[in-house]
Amino acid sequence: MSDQIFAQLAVFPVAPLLIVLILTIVPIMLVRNWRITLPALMIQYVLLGLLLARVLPNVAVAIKPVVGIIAGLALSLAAQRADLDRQRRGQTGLTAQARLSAADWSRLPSQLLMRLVVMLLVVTAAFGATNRFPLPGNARELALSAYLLVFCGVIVAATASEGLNIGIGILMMISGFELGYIPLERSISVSVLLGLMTLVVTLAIAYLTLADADALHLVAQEPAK
Amino acid sequence: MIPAALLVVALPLIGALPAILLRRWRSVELLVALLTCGIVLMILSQPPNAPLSLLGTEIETNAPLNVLGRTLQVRSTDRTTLLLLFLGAGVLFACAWGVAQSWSYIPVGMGVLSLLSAALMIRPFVFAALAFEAAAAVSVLMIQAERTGERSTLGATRYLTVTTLALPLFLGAGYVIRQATAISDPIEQAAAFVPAVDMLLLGFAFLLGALPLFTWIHGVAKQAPPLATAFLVTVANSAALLLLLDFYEEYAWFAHNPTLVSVLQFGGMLLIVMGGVLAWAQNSFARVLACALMIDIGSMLLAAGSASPIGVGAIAFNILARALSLGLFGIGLSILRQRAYGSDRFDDIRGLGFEHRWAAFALGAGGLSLVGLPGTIGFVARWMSARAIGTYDVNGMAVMVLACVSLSVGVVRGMMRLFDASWREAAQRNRNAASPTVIEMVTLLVMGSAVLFFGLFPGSLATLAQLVANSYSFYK
Repeated sequence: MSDQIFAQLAVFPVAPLLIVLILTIVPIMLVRNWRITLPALMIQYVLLGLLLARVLPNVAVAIKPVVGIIAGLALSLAAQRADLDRQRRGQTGLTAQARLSAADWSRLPSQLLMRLVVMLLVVTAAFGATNRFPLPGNARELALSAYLLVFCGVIVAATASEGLNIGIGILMMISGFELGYIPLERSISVSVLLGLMTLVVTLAIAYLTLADADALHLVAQEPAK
Repeated sequence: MIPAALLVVALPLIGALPAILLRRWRSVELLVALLTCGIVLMILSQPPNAPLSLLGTEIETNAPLNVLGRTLQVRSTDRTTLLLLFLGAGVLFACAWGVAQSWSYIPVGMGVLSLLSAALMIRPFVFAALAFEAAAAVSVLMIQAERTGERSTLGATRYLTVTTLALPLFLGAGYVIRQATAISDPIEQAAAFVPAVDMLLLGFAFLLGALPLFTWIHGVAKQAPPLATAFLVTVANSAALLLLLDFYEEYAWFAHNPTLVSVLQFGGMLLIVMGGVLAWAQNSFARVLACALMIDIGSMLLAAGSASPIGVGAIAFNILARALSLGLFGIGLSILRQRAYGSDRFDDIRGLGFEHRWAAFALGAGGLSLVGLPGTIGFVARWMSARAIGTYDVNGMAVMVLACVSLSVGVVRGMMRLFDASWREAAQRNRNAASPTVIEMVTLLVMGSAVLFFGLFPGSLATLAQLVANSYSFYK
């Protein structure tokens, strides 16, 4: 039964997956609010699992979505904790919820337009790179996704100033590298190693998220005597 | 029978557990760390085929350990390089006795040490990048231990981002190497290796902090605890440099590639010039430290470019010199930050040297050793580097010396502010003038004496450096 499911996933048309992948990249590129970006990141990991089903053995396909959902949940917990600490300090306006409810959707801020332009340029560059520098490994349909994730990840990591957003950029970069590399070495061990590394990086980003919000005292230890 | 590789990786991880559980007792935590480093050093110092037993279990020094299809093995070159890493780490762990560090310093340090040891032993080499990435992620806990708040995570995030950028380059290079090795025609094969060389060089530039310039080094030096910065540069950065030497040893096409020397020369010069141009004008000890690190990493790249026994010896000696000089400087800077409410800006520490002579001594002796003042261990390291660089790039050697002069101006400016007599009374009134503890004084004295002793009598460390150089054969 499970074999049949994996077999069907492996022949699932790539175009709809790519479109949904771009749709998950859009909020991450445009918005700096974890209540929007982290769910998008988790959906992205599920899509990556579907894309990798074309090149990986059955069991290994599950690694990426599982790791991604764990990573998303861990980061959500850290971000929630950081927001609670901000609320406790009276900085209610800085929490993700408050910023969402205070947003004026009738007027687009110039920053958002700027990010939109950058995103369009990056997507165009990714299309160009896919044609100009096709990735080896007989899985060219994955190349566009890989380039998109790497380019957008670099841009997010380079332009964001908060630990969480930079971290999301780093996770996108790693996903892109994985998508480009897995077709070259289709082994479970590589997927496991990359999955473990993603989890370690996630923990580091969660720690940085708390540090950014000055909420490390919630996990801090007493100094040594 | 246990492969030594397993112990080298597992012992620091096992030691990290009691270290984190016993963190309230600094001496016990430290003892665990030093004991772990000591056991690993004992294992590594055994001849390759000599029988060794630990608690009744026989240890085979060069036996391979297979993990997820990769092989970890202590080869002859790895023995000496790992010895250097654990020695350097041991010295920096010992520095934590003198000045209280955050909860993460020793446990996380041991985790990083374990991952980097795995990175140096793993074959195929390209998977070392995964270990470096994991080590960088874990290091974040060490970098971010003391500072929180908006924009306080800049150094840590930059370090993690730059290390992540190196990852695909190493993985990609691994694929290219596999493809090129299958080609039988030598000319076609040489051409097929070219992209691998390019990717590896770019990857090493990211790992060593040479690219993009001015990214994580300044951020980390400013925001991380000084001993954590010292640990990262001495252990993580040196491990990347030793990995570069391993590539030299393993792949003749890499070692003999004509672009390699020019790229190392260019990267090294760029870092040295950048550090030298900025060092004299800095206005805080952390920034002076960052410039010193840029010059140091740059000179190591130039020494690596010489691809000679003198160059490898200089790199090996420099790792030990870094541990001592940065350790001493780090203790002084930590004490000063604790007394000056977290700041090491020259304007905030004016006159504090009169109150905290021990911290000032550490900053002065450590700083001048980083500069390469004769009589300190830093001088011997600089001298060895200059000899190596001088064999193929006299201009590079001269630029390095000039950069050290600029760095000395930065250090002396800081020391003059520390002993600014017009601020003496204000410093006495406003600062937390707790007198140094006996432990602080003993640690500072031991570290200061080591910096001076090995500066005057570098024989034993130079012999070790020579041993490391002799373990490589790519230049023979």
